[in-house]
Amino acid sequence: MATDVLSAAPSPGPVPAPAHAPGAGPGPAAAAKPRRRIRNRYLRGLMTPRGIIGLALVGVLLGAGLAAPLLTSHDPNFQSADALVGPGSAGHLYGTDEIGRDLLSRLLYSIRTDLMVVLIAVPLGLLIGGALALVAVTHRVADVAVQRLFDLLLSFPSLILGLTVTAIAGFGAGSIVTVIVLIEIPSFGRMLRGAILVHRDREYAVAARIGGAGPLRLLTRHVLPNAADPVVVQVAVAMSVAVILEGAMSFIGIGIRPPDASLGGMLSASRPYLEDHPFYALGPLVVITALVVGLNLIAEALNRGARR
Amino acid sequence: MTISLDKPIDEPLDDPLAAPAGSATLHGLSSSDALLRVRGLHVTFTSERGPVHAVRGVDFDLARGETLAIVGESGSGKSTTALALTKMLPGAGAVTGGSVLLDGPAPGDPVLDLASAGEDELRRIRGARIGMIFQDPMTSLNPLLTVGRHLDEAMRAHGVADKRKRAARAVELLDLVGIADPAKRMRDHPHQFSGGMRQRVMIALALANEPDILLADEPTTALDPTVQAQILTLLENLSRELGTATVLITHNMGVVARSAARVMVLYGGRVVEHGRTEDVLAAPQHPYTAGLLRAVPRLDAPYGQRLHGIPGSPPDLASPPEGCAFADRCTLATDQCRTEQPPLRAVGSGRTVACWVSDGPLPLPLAASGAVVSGGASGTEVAEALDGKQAFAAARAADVHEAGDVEPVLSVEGLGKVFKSRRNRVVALDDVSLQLFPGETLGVVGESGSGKSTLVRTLVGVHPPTAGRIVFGGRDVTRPSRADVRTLRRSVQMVFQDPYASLNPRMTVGAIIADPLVSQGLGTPGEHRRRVGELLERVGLDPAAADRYPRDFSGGQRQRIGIARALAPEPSVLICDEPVSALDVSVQAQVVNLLADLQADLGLSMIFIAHDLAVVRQISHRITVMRGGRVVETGPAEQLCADPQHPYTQALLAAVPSPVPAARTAAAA
Repeated sequence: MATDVLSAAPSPGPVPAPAHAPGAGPGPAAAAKPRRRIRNRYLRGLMTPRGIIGLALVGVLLGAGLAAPLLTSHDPNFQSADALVGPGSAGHLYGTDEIGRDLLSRLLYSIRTDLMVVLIAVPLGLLIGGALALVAVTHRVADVAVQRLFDLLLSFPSLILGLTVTAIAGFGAGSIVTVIVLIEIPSFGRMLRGAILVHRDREYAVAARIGGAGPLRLLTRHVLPNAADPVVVQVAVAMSVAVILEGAMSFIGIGIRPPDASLGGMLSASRPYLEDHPFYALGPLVVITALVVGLNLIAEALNRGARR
Repeated sequence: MTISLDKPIDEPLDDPLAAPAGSATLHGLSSSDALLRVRGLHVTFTSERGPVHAVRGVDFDLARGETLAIVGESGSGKSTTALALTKMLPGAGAVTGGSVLLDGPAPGDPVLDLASAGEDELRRIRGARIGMIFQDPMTSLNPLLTVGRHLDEAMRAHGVADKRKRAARAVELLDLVGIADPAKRMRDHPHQFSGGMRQRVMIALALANEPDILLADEPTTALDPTVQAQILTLLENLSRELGTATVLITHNMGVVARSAARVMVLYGGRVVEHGRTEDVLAAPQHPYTAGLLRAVPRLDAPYGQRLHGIPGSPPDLASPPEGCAFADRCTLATDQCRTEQPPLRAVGSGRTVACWVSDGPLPLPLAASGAVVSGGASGTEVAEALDGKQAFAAARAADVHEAGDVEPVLSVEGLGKVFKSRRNRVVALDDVSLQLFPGETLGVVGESGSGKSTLVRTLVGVHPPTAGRIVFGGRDVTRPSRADVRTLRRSVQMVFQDPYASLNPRMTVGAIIADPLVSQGLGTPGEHRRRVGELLERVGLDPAAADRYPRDFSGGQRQRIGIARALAPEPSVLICDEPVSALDVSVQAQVVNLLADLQADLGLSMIFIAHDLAVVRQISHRITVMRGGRVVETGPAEQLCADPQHPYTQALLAAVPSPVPAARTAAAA
């Protein structure tokens, strides 16, 4: 029964409009008051120059990845006769690679892996890590068990974990997602657990308990909304870490398996041609950098918004 | 960082070094014997809402060896003024005008303007010629360094090269500030000292290089009353023996009366009144000073008399008022007050006041005679007094129950609480027995570590006691059943100390107040809304506040919200844990009055916990004094204060500084 007493009351029935509804009509008038500023502080943080630039960078790149089939008519795996041509030549807007594949379409299609990592792996890690944190704060024994599990996961360096998972489950997107989820679980879990423990002892939480709030209401209505701040910021940070990790795994060849396109794979393949065809390496580099910078700008904007 | 401020009328003319014509009479001292001369000091903070003008033209002189108190409430600019003297302002603040002229160490040495001095010069001044003591002795010492090391560094930084000399001097300093066995304690770390002892160490540090001036920013605010008295005595003695001039920043009128020869009252970043302590405190001429003095709870005031708060809240210095900053809260304000800045004008020897209206001393409530404020008091105040509230005192005294007379609502027998950790065992409560009768207010007084907060938390069931019994309404609720917990949550509610920490920042005020109702499933959302509106009005807030967030409110308003929340489930017992100790005096008085009214109107039984006996006395029927987890004395409020039996109660009473200047004449003369 964690309904908000004040906002969840659009029943215009016989209840007299509260004295403070400023001369407006009856019923929902109170809820539909004119809003001069953005109510949600995260949104307010994002609607700053910093946040807008971050959102634009990430939005444009991820959107381009999503719309890849619409933006380019070249099959990313089709090998044409023109190998290593420069941008603009022979109908290839961004040139071709060493075996004549269109670089622009490979770039666009490889963003799709990042899309998946960002939109599936990180939320999944948050979900599992958060659930474990909630288990941890319920009981002392559960706390010890969960914390040791986090320690165990943290004890693997990420690339070693990547190699292990790939060795067991084989190449492909599934392995990348698994590795990132495993890495994000303890980082989200520890952070949320710590924040819950801090806020559970704050005076307003004690006040809520004295007001009669049970454990569930205490958690959902009082503790979690306050404990969420660092976690929300961490989501954006985790996404940028995930983008880098995906690049690194593909770069050393344990991520997306060739011939499928990946940013790390392209970077790795471009190395012999750095001198003569710098644009080849530049493409994936710029995309990775822009994604990471954009996500970090978003994280900083959220952080500043949360501190209000 | 703008210097867009209008030049205040009272600011001296261009050359700050030329003593202004009226200076001698203005400050009661000729400029020649002044050690520090502050002229037209302006401090501006940059904030998101634009520049905040925290200090707007402050002038004062400080002579060698004298003690000047700067008083004011939060936001008055008193701490900012002190920090600005040595340019120790936080990053967002800057001195944007005026001068701070410090005489050379010897006669004939050049005068240095600290306001325009470079960082190198300032570093040579700070700690050497101007020492500082801060409010919180717990955080102002580095926990990794021994006390001896602190002192050693302070002297080395200012060029005492000989290590043995420094060590000898450090021992001497610790001895000077009254630390027993100084040679041995030099090797101790800060955590091995109590709060009062740490403040002594801070004073020793500030004195290490024999400064000419000691800036003490709320040096006793974080300390218990008995310790406060010791520290003030120490400061007085040192100032007399060493000839150090002291600038004492405080919000406590009692501290001023006790320790300072002159007092300067700040409001809204400007000086409103300045003069000899005896004159200002005995016959204030500015309505704000008078209001502040009226708001201070006093032990010698008639029992049960209402406190007089100052309605309204301080001005927003991001957009400073055109006229007098106090005009909005002043009952005497005229149109001129609202549009024109009143200049500081001399009214008698060494005495200045910035007010358009007042011409002569404003009335104060007379101690010990039951007389209600007359004359200058506001119409509403008088009406209130006539409105039967005066009967309050009589009723209060008559209300005192004899034990065994009626059934107590809540009684505690032999309550004990021990906190155990792996290494130590702390006895927080030891055989505490109390009874709370219907419709009475029981004051619980004690210093830090007396167990009063543990008592509260045990009573409301936040942590279970390790011994004894709690009986509520005839039922033993020491180990409450689920049904008992439900009853307790409805009937026993609590008001917290910190109005900032005790309200959930993510909920609207309406949701906060309705929270106990929702948690306990009482009523429908529609009823909740009505009840929230009712409660907000009841505690003196606009019902429209329900849609806003706690951050939009001041400390006093937040405390009212906390009270409204506690009243929501219609409790029969209200436990107030230091409800006013985080508030300014003028606001404290309002909240104490509100609680007293609520108690009388709703027939609540109330436990009022505080460390300030003067406040507790005004609101309580009976008082219990606690020390070290034990009850040392319980009795009717007036009787206990007039005729304390236990030596500790006597010490507590003696330690309450009274704002009557006569009390200090002997010490300062």
